[in-house]
Amino acid sequence: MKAGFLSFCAIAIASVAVAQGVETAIAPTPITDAPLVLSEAEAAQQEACLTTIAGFPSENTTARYQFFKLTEMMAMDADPDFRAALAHFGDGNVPPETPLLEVLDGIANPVMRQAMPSLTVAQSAYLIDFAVDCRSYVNGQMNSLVAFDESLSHAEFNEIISEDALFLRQILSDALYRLGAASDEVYGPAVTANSASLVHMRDTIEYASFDTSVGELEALYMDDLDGRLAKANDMINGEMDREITGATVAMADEMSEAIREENRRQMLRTLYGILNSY
Amino acid sequence: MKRASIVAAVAMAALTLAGCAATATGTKVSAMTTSSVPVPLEAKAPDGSTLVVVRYPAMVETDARDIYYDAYLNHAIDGKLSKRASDNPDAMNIADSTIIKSNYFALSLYKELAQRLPDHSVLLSPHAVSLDNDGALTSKPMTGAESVATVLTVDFSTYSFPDPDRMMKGEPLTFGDLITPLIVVHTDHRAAAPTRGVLLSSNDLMGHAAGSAERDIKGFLAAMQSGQLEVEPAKLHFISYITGEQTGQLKTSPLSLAGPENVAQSYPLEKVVLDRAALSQLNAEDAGNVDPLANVFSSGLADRIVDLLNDVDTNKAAMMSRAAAVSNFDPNLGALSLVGMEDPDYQSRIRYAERLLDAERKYLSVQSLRMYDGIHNGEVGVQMRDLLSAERDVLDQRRKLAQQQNMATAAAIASVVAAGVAVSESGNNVSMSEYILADALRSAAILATSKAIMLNRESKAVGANYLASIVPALEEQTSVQVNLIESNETITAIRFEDLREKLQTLYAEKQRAVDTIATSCGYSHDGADLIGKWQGVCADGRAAGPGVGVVQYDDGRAFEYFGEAKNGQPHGTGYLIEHTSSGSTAIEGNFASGKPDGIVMLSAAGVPDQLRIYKNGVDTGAAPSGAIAPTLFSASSDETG
Repeated sequence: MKAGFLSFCAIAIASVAVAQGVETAIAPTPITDAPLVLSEAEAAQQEACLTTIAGFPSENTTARYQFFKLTEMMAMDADPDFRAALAHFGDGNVPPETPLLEVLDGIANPVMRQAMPSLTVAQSAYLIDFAVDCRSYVNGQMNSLVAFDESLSHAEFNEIISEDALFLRQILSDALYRLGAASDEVYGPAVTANSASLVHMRDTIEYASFDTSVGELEALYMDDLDGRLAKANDMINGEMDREITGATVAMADEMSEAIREENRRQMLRTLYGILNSY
Repeated sequence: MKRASIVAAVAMAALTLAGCAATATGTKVSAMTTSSVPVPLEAKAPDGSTLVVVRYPAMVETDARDIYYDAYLNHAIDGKLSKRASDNPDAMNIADSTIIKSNYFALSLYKELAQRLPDHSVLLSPHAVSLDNDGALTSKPMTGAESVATVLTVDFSTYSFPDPDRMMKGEPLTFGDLITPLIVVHTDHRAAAPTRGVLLSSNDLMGHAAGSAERDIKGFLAAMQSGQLEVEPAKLHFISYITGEQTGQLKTSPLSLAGPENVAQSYPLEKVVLDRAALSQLNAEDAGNVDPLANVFSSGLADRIVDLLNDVDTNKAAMMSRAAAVSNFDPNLGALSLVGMEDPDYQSRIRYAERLLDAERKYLSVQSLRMYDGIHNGEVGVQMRDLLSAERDVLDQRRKLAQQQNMATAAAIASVVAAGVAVSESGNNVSMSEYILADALRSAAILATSKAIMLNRESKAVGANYLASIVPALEEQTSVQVNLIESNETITAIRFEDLREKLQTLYAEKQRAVDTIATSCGYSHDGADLIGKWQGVCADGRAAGPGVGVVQYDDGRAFEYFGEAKNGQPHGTGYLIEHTSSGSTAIEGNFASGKPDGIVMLSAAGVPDQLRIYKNGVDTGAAPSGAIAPTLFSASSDETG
């Protein structure tokens, strides 16, 4: 989880750098030709979605993608019941145009999440609401970014973002437990179900990390093995005496030729014997 | 009359001494090719398992050589060896060349399978013919390939009758453009209980494959009773044959495209003519790409193997060896993996273990690929192809001599007959001209006969000279092939040990603890005394959850059960196999208090699988059409009665 958290900080740093006008890898945001199909709810949220998106890093595609992906993963398995629980336990209004970076900073702030878990819940709800209500925009933006820079779809890169999302979801889950949401008669089941989803996400991420580590070891050792075996084969093949077959076959031929010659002589003797009898 | 007797004697001599020479013929289209059609692979190897392991004899250890030669000569296939032939040192060369040829031609099957199956799904398992602790002939895998769980195992070897004087006759031969393949295709007996795992076998090896399967089952039951999941890999069926091991009985049917269910198919002994066009290219520069066995045999066998893979329940086939492999990484998990569990902790942990097995499988497949490359594409392959070319020339030469001999014999007989006619027509009043004619015909018969005899002698000498001279080349082949395999195994094992250590560390760091673990406890298949052994989840010293149980009785019956248990006996979904001296049967479905209860699938030898309804252990009749028996093995869920 440490690496994930560091990458989360890196996002923040990158975003701050952009906000301060520091030039990072500048690239124009690609424009997608695909028509955006909006649901009724999304159409109603259009303005709010676009306003929030406007606050995303716009000149660094990597940071921009990270933000979209992070919010999407944060909202994973957040069904209406769970969102209702967040609305119930969240306290402290997050103004609609609050920059996302500010919200993220608030959630990750260790002091605030200890002192005001209900604010942490409200900030998380803000992120999740954005991800759910603006799903089409988020997906459209991510697809465009990946089309522009294919490296954004790499599994390892996305694994790091998953770890950040897991970190944020864990903070939310802790906050909810501290607020007694798990034992709430109405909202308890939704909160517990989301905790199970969090465990599943953690398992998936941990397995992905294990799989990557095994894959790396495998590739390293298989390449090494292949090289060593090829070398050993060459060495052993080099020791082989290729002439030996030819020599043995030639010897067999010579022996057979001798027999053939003897047969010819024998035939002549037989013929001579027959002719002599006349 | 005296002259007539002389003529008759000459005729007899012509026929007995020279005789009609055989020309070492073979079948141009193997039964394997005519009984197979290419089908796409539908089967999938269970996680951490491979699809096929090809086993073959690759070397004979020095201290086992004499016993190997004796066994080879004393248990000749398709005939009994004469004392004279047994004393012929060239017979041992034939026994040696069987190993070398098996080693080379097994690669043809490997290549054909690799072309049809996904990456890393076929492994080579060369065997060393050696002596066991009791000094008896056996064979042991030279690499770790058989430690990987597999769906099918294919034993492949070539064969030649060990009498050098019979090379041109009808006996099995692998020489020049002829090959006599011996095969056994088998799976784990849990996937084919009625045939004890034997799916397809050379006719001559069938009884030994059955006997070997019977011994494997006994070995497994003994291992289970002592709390082990792992059993030693079986020796090659070919070695079982030549050591005259006890045979078993199986229901069989001839090789065919759509044979009956639950019987083992029998492949006839045949001498197959190698692809002559390919043989003629063996000395070309790109001869490494030439495979004279592919079109005539190994392609058909590979198609047939794919077909068998599609038919076999891959989960049942691989589950036991996979459980044993999982146990090596995680002893608490092995038995649980046989039937699986819904528990998320288990699911998470088994996933990690399977990933390690997968790494192991891929690693060993690199070794197989390199062994193929080293032997087939290296100098060994070049020399082997030189040998095949030389053998083809020898055989062609002998065929030519045989034809000449036959012509000479025919001439001798014609002369004899003509002389006989001349003598008999003249009666007792023989004129001088008739006498001269008969005498000339008699001389011609003598000349033709002696020519036939000499050609016969020459043909035998060509064969004997070749076999005697080729010894150094055979030794060179043996030594280099063995060096290649052994160095490949040494390098792989050292590197693999290192990798495994790292994987173990990763596994220990990353996987989570499980509350439910596999242990050993008491079991009974019918609720009687808990004399059996259970490996899996236990409570109060008896089976209580998923696992595997075995129980053996003094009368020779034994039961294996895979599935859910309660109170020490089968209860829930499960798979029960009953072994008796007359065969094995299986029943899969629901069990209640040790007895089948509900819709079950019955598998018995010689009859198709049947869906039946059981109530409290009693068969109450056929299940309605479309019924499905509960199963723990997803691959078998689509079976219908």
